[in-house]
Amino acid sequence: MPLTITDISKLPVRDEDIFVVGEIIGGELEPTVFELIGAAKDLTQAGQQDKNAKKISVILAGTALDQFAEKIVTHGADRVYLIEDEKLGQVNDEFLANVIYDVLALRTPEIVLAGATHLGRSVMPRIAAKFKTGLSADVTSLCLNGEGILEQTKPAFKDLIQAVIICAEKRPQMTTVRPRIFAPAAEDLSRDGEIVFVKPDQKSLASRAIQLKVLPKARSGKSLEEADVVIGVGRGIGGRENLKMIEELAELLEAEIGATRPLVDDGYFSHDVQIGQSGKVIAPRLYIACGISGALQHTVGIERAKVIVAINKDSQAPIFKVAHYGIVGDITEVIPYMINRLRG
Amino acid sequence: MRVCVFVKQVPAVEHVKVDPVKGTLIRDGCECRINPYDLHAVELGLRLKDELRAEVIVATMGPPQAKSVLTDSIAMGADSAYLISDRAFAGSDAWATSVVLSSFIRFLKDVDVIVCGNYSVDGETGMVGPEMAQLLEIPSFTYVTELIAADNDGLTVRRNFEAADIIFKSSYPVLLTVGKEVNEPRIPSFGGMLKAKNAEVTVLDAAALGIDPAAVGIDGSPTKVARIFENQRDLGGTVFSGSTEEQVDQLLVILEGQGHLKCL
Repeated sequence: MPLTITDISKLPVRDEDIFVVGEIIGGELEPTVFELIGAAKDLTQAGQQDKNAKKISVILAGTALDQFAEKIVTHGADRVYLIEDEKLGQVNDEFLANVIYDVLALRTPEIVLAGATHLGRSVMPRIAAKFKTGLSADVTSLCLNGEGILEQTKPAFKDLIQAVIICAEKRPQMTTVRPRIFAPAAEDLSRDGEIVFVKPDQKSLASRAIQLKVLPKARSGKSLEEADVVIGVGRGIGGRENLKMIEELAELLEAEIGATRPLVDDGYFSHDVQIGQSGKVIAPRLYIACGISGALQHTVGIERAKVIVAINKDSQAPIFKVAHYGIVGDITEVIPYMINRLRG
Repeated sequence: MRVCVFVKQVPAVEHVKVDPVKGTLIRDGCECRINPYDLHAVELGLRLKDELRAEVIVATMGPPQAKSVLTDSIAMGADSAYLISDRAFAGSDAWATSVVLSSFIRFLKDVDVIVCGNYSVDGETGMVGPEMAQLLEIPSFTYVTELIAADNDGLTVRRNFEAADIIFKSSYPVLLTVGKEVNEPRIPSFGGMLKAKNAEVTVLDAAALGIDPAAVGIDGSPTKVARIFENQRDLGGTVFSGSTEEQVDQLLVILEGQGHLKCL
């Protein structure tokens, strides 16, 4: 699939509205970039009648980056900037802020998105400070208001409140986006796009910080917090013999399984998959609560899930107040039927 | 060696509600306390005092009542305290706050290490530390989970990222932001609490720091909160009806439409 290589000096002036900043750690592309491309597409689609639609571009900084370009384009980016230098082989907040700022200052987009990962939340403020512009962190919702200004919505005070933030005048409008809230953009293998190789200014690569050692974390299967889909199990599961159907469903949906405190206390599950106030707070793309009543101690752990489905035989169970979709029924009937339909 | 620790007074989270008419926070009688992560920041400063005889200065930008978080820090062992306070600072966003705090660092002169908590539990942005470091043109190490070593030439830390922990070192000056894992904050001694009671807190306003009021506060903040609302406790989601089969079928159609069933 042909990717055109363009020289940065030959790019049309200001033809990009939204930049997505990707992240590389330990030589791997952080998957949030695909969610950000999805978010960017939603934003540009919003006002999308005109043919002069502005482009969505992605910036990566590191070494040996061309391996990532194709996947980024097929997921919806029009242009990928690859900022490469030996010095970018280590994590350095100043380097990243400087070289990314240099490209953004040249291209002057309206909006810059990055993932609210630890690195994103560390580098984006430095870039915002260089622009003297506004930045919001860890947003869960984005839209353009009537005047075309980005409304950045984020929870605060331990999710008791949502705040809508805008940066009315300064540009670019910058924000870090909470991972696993937006769905990744769909892939279209027929898409083509442009690559722009950028050789950074050496003056942007001076810093007293030195990376000494990288200690990768053991990735033994996805942890609950990283899973895209989680199935939660509560008292409504009944006896242990019913866990099998949950495991089957989990396998079909490529889901991790978590549990409420009572089930952990009773020894059905270990504490490290307990979801809730004294367990984990998760933010999967899809959460299916099976036989869970919906006590507050549990629901504080799931409110950040993008889509919540609840299955409970009691139509008055509080879980239905925090679920997007609810099925009133017995788990032992609902789950086997669901498995059958998903298989067939 | 001079260490400056920034602390913040935050409302007790459980007591926050939104006025539905004005769209502003109702803080009933401000049950306020020090931002939990800042205690760990103070403790890190005190470790540098214990090991390298650093002078530990603690400072906060806030209204007059924020003084209490400073005296708490003196009780733990900080040497001096500054309240950075001015009506002009009210309503400052992260950028404006960074302008104020970096002005303070320049005012102090010769600060080797700046320490903050990773973020405060009210705004939860975590932006002020790195923005300040950028304004001061110094390295920033966020999400520090361990201070591995420090001497008169520099320090070595472990930072936590999702995919890996990474060890870094830097010479001074440098800014650190820390989480709970980095240490156990010490309990103030009786002597410390007495000292705190009598401690003098230096109050600095915009003029003392040479800050132009228009550059900070609401006017100097590029971001504004357009509106706030309480999180919906009742999502008003769709509860299906019909037989088990009918309900499941309806659900699966929706989930497929939303792209959740691609793995099949």
